[in-house]
Amino acid sequence: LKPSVFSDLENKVVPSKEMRQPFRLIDLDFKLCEGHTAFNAYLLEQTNFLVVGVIGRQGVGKSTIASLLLQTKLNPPAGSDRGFRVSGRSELLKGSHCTGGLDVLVTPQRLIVLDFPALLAPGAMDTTVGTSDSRIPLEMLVQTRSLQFMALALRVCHVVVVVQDSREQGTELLKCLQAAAVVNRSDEATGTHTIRSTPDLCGESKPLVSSTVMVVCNKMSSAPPSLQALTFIERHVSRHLRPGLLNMSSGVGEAPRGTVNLFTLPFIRNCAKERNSLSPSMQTLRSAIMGLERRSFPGYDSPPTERAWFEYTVRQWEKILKSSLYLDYSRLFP
Amino acid sequence: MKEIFTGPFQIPFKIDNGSLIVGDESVAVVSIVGQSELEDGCDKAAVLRLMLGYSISKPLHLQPLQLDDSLVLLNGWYDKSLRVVFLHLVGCQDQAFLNSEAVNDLYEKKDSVAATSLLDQQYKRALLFVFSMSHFVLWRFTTHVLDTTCITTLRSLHEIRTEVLQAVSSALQEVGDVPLSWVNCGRLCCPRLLFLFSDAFLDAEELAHQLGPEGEPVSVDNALRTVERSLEDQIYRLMRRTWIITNNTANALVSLPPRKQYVYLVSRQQQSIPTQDQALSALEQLCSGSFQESAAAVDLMRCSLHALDNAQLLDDSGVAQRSGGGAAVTRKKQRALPDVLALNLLNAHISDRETNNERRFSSFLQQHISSALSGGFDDNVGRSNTVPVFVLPKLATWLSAANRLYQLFITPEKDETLSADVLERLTLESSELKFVRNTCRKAYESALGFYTFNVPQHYPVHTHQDKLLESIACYRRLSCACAFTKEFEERLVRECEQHWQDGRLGCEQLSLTGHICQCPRQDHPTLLHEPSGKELPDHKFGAQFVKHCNCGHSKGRMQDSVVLRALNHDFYAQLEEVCCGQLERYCFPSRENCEPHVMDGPFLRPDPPDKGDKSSMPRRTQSVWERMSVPELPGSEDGSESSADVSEVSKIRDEDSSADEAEHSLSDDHEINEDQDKEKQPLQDDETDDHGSHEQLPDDGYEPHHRSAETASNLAAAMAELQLDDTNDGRAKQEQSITRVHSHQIFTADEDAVQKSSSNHFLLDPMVSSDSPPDFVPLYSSWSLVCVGASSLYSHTIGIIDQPGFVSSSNFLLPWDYTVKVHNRSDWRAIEQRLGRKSKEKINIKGNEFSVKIFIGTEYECSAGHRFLMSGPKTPLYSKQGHPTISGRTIALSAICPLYHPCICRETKTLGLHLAQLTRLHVVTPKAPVHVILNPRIQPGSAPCPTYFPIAGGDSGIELRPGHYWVMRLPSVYATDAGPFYPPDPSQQVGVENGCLLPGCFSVSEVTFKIL
Repeated sequence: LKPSVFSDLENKVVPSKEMRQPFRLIDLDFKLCEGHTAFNAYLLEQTNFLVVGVIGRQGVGKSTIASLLLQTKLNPPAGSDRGFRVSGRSELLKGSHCTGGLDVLVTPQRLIVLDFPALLAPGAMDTTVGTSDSRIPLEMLVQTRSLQFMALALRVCHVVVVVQDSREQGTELLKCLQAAAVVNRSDEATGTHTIRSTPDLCGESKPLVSSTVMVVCNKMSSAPPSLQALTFIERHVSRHLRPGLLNMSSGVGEAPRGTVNLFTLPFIRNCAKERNSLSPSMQTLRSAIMGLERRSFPGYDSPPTERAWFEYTVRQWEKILKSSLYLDYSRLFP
Repeated sequence: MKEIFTGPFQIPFKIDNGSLIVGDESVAVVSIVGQSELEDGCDKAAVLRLMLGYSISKPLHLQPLQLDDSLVLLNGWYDKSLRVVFLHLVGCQDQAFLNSEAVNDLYEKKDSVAATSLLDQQYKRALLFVFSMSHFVLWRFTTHVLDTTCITTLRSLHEIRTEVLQAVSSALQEVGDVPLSWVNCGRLCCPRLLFLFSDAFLDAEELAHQLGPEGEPVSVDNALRTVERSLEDQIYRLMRRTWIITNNTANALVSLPPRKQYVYLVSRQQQSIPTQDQALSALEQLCSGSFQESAAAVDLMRCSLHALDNAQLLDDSGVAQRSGGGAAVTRKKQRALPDVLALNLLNAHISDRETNNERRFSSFLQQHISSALSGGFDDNVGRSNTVPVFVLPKLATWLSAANRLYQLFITPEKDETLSADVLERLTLESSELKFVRNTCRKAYESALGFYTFNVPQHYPVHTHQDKLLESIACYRRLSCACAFTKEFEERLVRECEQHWQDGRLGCEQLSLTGHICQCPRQDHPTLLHEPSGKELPDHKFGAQFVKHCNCGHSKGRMQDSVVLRALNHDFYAQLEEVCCGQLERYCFPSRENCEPHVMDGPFLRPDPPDKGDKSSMPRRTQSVWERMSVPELPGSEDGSESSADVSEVSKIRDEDSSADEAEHSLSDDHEINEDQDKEKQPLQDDETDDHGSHEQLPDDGYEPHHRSAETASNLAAAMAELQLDDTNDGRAKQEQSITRVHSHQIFTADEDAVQKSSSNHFLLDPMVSSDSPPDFVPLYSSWSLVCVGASSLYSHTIGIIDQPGFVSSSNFLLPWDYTVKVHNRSDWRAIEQRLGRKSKEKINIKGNEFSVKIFIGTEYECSAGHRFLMSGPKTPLYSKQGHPTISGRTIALSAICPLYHPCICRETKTLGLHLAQLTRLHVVTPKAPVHVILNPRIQPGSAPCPTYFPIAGGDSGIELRPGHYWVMRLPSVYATDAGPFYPPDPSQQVGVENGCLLPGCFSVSEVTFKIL
């Protein structure tokens, strides 16, 4: 942990425009929202910022965790709560998810939180309207879109928080994340047509180029999880994520062997009451995220400014949409 | 005799198990598949306890799973009273399964992607089995959200089922007593899919509050039912949209019951296990005599007997029955009956209590089972004329069929009757595995393309290795580390090797300047001289250099060669023919041109004292300095050594001499030669005594190759090539494309050659070096010293103007003022007399000493023929404004001049470095009674390394006649019999360690009057 970085971030107060509501970046039709450039008003021309993307399946508590990440004080006064909308009764009864698109919120401490829509979700399958190309089956479309969102998360975030609940094993999501990393890499490799003749230097300490993956196991029933359970989850995650492609072991978290950045959060039955206060485990997660080594972005020698990052994000999303690899991957589905 | 079979079994079912004799009643089959969770004890079938009152399986996390190759477990349970077979599929969706040792081993042995893929495949195969052998499939989820994996799995299984249907039918035919409709369909019926969700994360009470009007919450059951309905709606929508369920169930993999509940939300309370205390209190209640009702008592008795049977069966098969308190209560047969009864009463009471509290699950499942047992169900929607197939199999038949289909679906690799395409269809690789393989294949293809692209027609082993390394790096960049990495990399190496071996093997011969032969290997099957008698074509190195002649007035193209003589002697000898043949030249001792005895001529420095008194030595000048015609080349018979293309020699020098003069000089030369020959004859006899051992060995033996006459066509081709590349650009490109070896590189081929030729004596070495014996005379000399003319030829204000190739403003020699002291008065007078008045003015006389001005220059020449002089040991001369004033004293006396220096031409900056090599030494001797002594000693590498000098014997130098302009040309290549010293890599920094001219090259002798 690097508390100094954390405190630096906490003390940096240069808000241009206070953000209270999340900003919808990518809408349900999978396109960048009209007027997405307005988001620039919330961004600064400075480089000390942290982008956290929260991904997960339906109903695992992504938006809740994303909102908790935004909290700056342990017990914020009433009315000052800022955050993403979390699912309630209507979503439950429709079997749908709450966050329909990619939402983003910026804190005055320059923490940018991306709340991704539910991935591989039945709700997404429900709402996905078949494209004009009817040859693409529905489930393939959902798979492709999940891949694309994960690819975006891996490309533009400093930290990707993978949320899964304690009961769902998250196998599919982890597989999908791994696939997104593979496809990303393959996409980048084919994108650069110039073949360098010099072999890559091995053993050189390379700067961090990929985003850090943190696995958060939400809704644990026992407050300090048993070692057996932790071991199991760690093994399960490390089986499906390969360290060569994903930066997933930064030495933080509760994993017994330390191969995965694993965090657990207890199940809070009545979310509404305790939402505004940070639980100790949530604080641990938050400070771990803040203290991580920041990655670099390809194409930028020095860390980009917030606005440059936003431009980069938009560019990456357009690239991802254009790339046929994601659909190709889904076509391989047996 | 038929006994009732009831209790647990496993698929494949062991028929020969004596204790189990199966009945022949018709049964309904209920399977349970899906996820299980660690917190539920990893037992997804535990929910059946709500209906049956007992568990059909043990908690999986309590004891290790015994897994075989199939990587799935199919546990069965037959309940006689219900006439239901329960099938419990344990696979990669169960957490206990993933935690088992067998799976851990699998992940350790295999790549994670491959292992996951294999587990998925086995699970999907097991699902196919389950869908063929069941009436109902209960799909268990651990939360209240539908997992889309279910949809995608069902989609893929649907297609596979229709494709392997034929194989299933024929397999079922093998089993006796299978109804025809079952054989035709390959399954009992279109199985109903029922969903079990969990309300673990659902706050039912809060939901109940929200659903009802203000202050009047609906019941929790109703709230849960609302959630179930919404899930039912969603599942129906999604399955319709993905074509999993259709109107006609005959075409569908599964069906959903049209008017019945098919989603059940398992409540936490239902699954929670009563604590020990609760169990004890229940027992107390029972014992205190609270059961007086006869009906209840009878019911309990029946239940307890039933449980007793089950307990015994579980005991027999080693399965512990779980009952109240979560503790496994194992029944032992020898236990006292009261204990048995009490425990069974307790069991029954608890299950009864639970089913009374939550009757919904039993009613949920029971209604489906009842419809199945009472003649089947029809899930067709709309007006469909087809009557759906529904088979209620006999238990025995079902078990036999299950064994057969288990073999077909789950272990198809062991089924010999299966056709290849069915097996292929049942091989279900995960999409990630496929994608990774595709990526690797693509990377492999581009890496192979990278290797084969633009590859020369023939290339040597080091080019192959470099390219192979590059292509492997290319592969690694494009692919990712995975299970296929090794396979594809090995394949890549193999393919590249194959590509190279397939007629692209290049000759490994290195030229003396480090270029490699560009011919195919079959032209030069061996590097060594072998008396095969076969004529081998000449090596083609593709390298040619622009070099100037001995005096520096003409230039020609020198072809790279493996013959030392061609580079150090023959090329210059041919240029002499058109240029400096008429000039006075110093005859270095060699067995070809000069008599060995001329070594002790007047131009040599006095021998070291141990050689004897210098005054006693006869001095002969005429035989040393001579006007020579081009000597006949010993190698000219075979023609292959004529590397210098004489026809290409461009005469740059303005020849003043007319043709007549040339003829005249030639005739003169002939005379001199004849004289020499006459003189040589007796001397050679003497020499034979001294150097007899040398004479026996052919000098040309240095060349490791057997060379034969170059055919006329070869020559013509070579000429054509040369003409094509005549332009500077062409040459530059060619130079870049040719492979070059530098001094630091080690070549096995070369080493082999050296090793094999090491039997030869070093006297084969045709160059005089510090390793040669002191009286060694080479066959020919690699050095040359000519007198260009009188000293007035050089004007220091203009510099060297009549020699081509000099980089502008780098054509000035360095003045070196040398002070001569005259100690003897009589000598001084003699000097004054000899000098005369005119000369006196030129010589600066001061007291008893006078100073003379000598001009010296160290000239470097690059392979493109660019020449430049140096102003210091490491600085090229660059004099923009007139002649340089910097003194040549340092160079002359103390400096170590490097043998190589980067060329200062413009091409070096644009096209990469050219290295220039120290090629000529210029000396303009003054018209004064002093002799300049030239004693070049070259060390072509870092120590230990032999030193090369023109004449054997060590320290002696060559005295130069005053008042003339002398040019000494150094060898192009320095070689020992171990091999040549290759030029250094131009891209690296070169210095004196790559070769140098040792200090003391120029010196001035004492005043002598003999020549004045």
